[in-house]
Amino acid sequence: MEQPLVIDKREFPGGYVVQLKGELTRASEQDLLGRFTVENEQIRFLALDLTEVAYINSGGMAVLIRLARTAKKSGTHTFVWGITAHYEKLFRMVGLTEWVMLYPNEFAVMQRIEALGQQ
Amino acid sequence: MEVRTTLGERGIRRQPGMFPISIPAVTSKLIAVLVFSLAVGLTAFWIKNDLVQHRLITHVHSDHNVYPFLSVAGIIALLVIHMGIRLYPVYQALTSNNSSREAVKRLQKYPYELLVGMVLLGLGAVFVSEWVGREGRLEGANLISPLIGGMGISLTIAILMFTMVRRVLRPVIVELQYALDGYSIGIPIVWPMLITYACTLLAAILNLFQLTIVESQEHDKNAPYFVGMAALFDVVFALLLAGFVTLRFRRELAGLVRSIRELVVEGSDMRLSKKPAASPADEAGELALVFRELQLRIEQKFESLGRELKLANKVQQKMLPPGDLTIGSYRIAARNRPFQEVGGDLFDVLSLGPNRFAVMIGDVSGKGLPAALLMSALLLLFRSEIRRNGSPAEVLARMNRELCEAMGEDSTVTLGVGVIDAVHDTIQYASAGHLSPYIVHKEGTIEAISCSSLPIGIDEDMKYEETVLKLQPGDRFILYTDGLIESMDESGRMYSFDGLERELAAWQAGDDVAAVLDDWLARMDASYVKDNDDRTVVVLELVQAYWLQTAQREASAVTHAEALSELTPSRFYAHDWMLNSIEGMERSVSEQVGLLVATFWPEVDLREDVQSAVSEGIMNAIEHGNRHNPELVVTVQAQVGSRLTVIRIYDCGGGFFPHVARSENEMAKKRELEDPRGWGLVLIDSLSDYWSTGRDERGFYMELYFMRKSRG
Repeated sequence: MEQPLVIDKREFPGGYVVQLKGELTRASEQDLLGRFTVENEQIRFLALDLTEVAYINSGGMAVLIRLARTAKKSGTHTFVWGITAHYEKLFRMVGLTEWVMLYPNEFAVMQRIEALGQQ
Repeated sequence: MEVRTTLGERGIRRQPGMFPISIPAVTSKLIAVLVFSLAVGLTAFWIKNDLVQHRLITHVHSDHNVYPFLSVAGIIALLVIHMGIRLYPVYQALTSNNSSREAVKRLQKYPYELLVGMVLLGLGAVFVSEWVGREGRLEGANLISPLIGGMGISLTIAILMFTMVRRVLRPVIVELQYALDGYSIGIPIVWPMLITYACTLLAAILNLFQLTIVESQEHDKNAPYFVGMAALFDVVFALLLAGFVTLRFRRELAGLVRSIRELVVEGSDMRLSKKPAASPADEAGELALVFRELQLRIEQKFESLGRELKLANKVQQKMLPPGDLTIGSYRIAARNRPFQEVGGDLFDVLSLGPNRFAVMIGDVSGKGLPAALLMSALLLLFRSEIRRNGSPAEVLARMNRELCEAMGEDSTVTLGVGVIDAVHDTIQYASAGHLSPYIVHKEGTIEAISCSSLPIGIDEDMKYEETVLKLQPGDRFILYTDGLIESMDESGRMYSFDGLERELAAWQAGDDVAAVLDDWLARMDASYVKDNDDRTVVVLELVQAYWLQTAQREASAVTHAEALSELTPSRFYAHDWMLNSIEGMERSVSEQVGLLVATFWPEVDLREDVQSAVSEGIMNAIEHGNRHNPELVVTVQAQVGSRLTVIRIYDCGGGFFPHVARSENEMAKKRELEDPRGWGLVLIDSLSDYWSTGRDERGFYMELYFMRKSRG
C-alpha cells in the first residue's frame, strides 16, 4: 500500500530546506502544495531533499512541476538533491529540469545558494 | 397465485365469461324464500289472531272457509310469475355465459320491486278477503281495521322476502358485475338498511294501531288482556325481525372481512397475519384493520418486486459491454435506456481478433421481464455463435435456427450484426428484420443502408442478406432500435425517420461521438416524453486523427516486426499478477516485474526503466480504465524471453486512443497546464522500446516491449 509522504522543514537564511520521506505520488499533492504555495512567496530559495524518497511516479512529478512552477513565478529558486540517476533521467524526460536545479548533495546546493545570495 | 374471493359464506372462483352459478338452484332458493317468508308472516298473524280470539279478521277462522289457502296460493303464484318475468333476462345471461348490464340492473332492483309488490298484494288479498267474507257488503268503518292489519302483515312478509332474496341474489350479482368490470346501478348500502328498519317500525306501528282499534270496538272486560298479549307478541316479533335483518347485514360485512383476510393470509406469510377473531365484535374496526394489513402486504410485495427488478436491471446492464469503447482507430459509443426497469433491447461489441470486431444491436418484441429474459439468452447465444466464426449472415441463420423452436410464436427478435475489419475499414453487415442503419459521412451526407429480411423466430430456413460497407476516416455508422423512432412529443408527434435524419445531418465531423450521443439523447428525453419502448443507439466512428496515427504506428511496427523476427525468443518465462484498482498497489507489482527482468537479463540495466514504465501503465489502467473502482481488477502479464520482454496490462474499461506529446512545443504546453497531468504515457513512450494498445477477450490492454540491450 501507499506510504504517506512525511515532510520536514527547516529554515536557512533566505529559504527552506524541505526533506521528503516516503512515496512521492499524486496523493502528496495536497500536503506539499497546500504547505508551500503561500510560504514560498516570501523566500528566495526552496531546497528539496529527496534522499529518503524511494518512489516517484508521474503523479509525483506533476506535483513537483506545479510546486517548482509556482515557486519560479514568485521569484523562488528550487533546488533538488538526493535522486537516483534513474529519476534524474525521468525528470529530464518530463522537462522538470526547466524549473528545478538538480545537485548531487546538500553541500553543492548550499554552495550554489551562497553564490546566488552574494549576487 | 389463484385469485379467489369469498362472498358471504361461500367461495366463488372468479373467471370472467364463466358463471359458476346453478340456475335451478337459484330459482328454487328464491321460491323457497318466498314460501318461507309467507309461511312465517302468516303463522305469526295466525298466532296473534288466535290470541285476540279471532277479532282481527273474523271470517278467516271459519272451518269451511277455503279462502285463506286460495289467497296464499294466489299470492305465491303471482310472485313466481312476477319473478319469472323480471328475471328472465338474467336467466338468459347466465345460460349463455354472457353478462349484460340489463341483467345486473334487474337483479339489483328485484328485491325493491318485491317489497312494494308484496305490500300491494297483501292489501289486495285483505280487500278481497273482506269482500268475500262479508259477502260483498263492504263498509268503510269496518274496512279500516283489516286494511291496517293487512298492511302490517304484508310489510312484515315483504321485509323477510326483501332481506332473504338479497342474500340469495348477491353472489349472482357479483359474478355478473365481475364480468362487466364492476358495473352497478349504484344503490348505497344505507338504502336497504333504512328501508328494512323503516318498514319493520311501520309494520309494528300498524299492527299495534289495529289492536287499538279492535280494543276500542270491544266491550268485553277481558279484551284489554287479549289485546295486550297480542301487542306484546307484535313487539317481540318486530324485535325478532329487526334482529334478523341486522344479523343479515352483519353477516354480509363479516363475510367481506373474512374474504379480505383470506386473501391477505393466502398471499403472504401466515406468521405475519393477525389472527382473525372468530366472530369479530367490531366489524368496521376489523374491516379497517384487515384493509391496513392488505395495504401492508401489497406494499411489501411491491417493494420486493421493485428490489428484484432493480437487481435484474443491474445484472442486465452488467451483461452489456461498456458504453464507451475504443478499438484500434474506432470509437464506439452505445447507450441503452430501458423503458421499464428491465428491457428487451440489446447491443454488443466483441473483439474477434487483433483486427476484427463485431457490433450487434437487437430488439426483442414485448417489454418487461419476458423480453429481458430473452434478451439475456440472445446476448449469450450471439457471443457464442459469433466466436464460432462465419459471416454475420451465417451467424444470424444459426441463431435463427436455434431460436425458432425455443421462442414459439409469441415473440420475435430483430437483430443487426456488423463485423468490422479494422485493416481495410470495412463492415460486413447483415440484418434480421432490424431497422436500416445509417452511415454519416465525414462531409455530412447521410446514407441509409437497406438490408431487409425477416426477424428471427419466424422461418427456420431463413437466409439473410449481407452487404459490405467501406468506411472512410471520419465516417460514422449508426445502429438504433424502433423505440427511438417511435418516441412521441407532448403533442403526440412521432420522432420518425425524418427526425433521426435531421439529427444525423446536424452532426459535426470531429466532435466527440460520446458527447454528441449524450447530448442527442438528453434532448430526446426532454422533448419526446411519451415513449413507451426501450431506446438503444450504437454509433461507431472511424476517428480520422487516430486512423492517421495508427497508420503511422502500423508502418513503424512493420520495421519492428522485421527486427523482432530475428530476435524471436526461443524460450521465455511468463508470470501474471492481478491487483485491485487502488492507487499505491502498482508499486509492488512493478517492482516484481522489474526484478523478474533483472533476474533473467542481469547484464542490462533495465530494471528501473521497466519498473517505472509498468508502474505508469498500471496507474493508467487504474485511473482511466477502471476509474478507481477498487472492485475492478488490473491484470499484468509479463513474458521475458531471451531477446524480448513483453508486458501486457489489462483493464476493464472501454479503452482509449493513445496520444503522446512528443514535440517540445506540446511538452511545454503540457507543463504549463494548471494541472500538468498525463506524464505517464510520456514516460512509457520514452522508457520502452515499443508499445501499443489493443483488445482481446480479456479486455483492453497496453503492451510494452523491452529489448535486451543496454540503455547506455
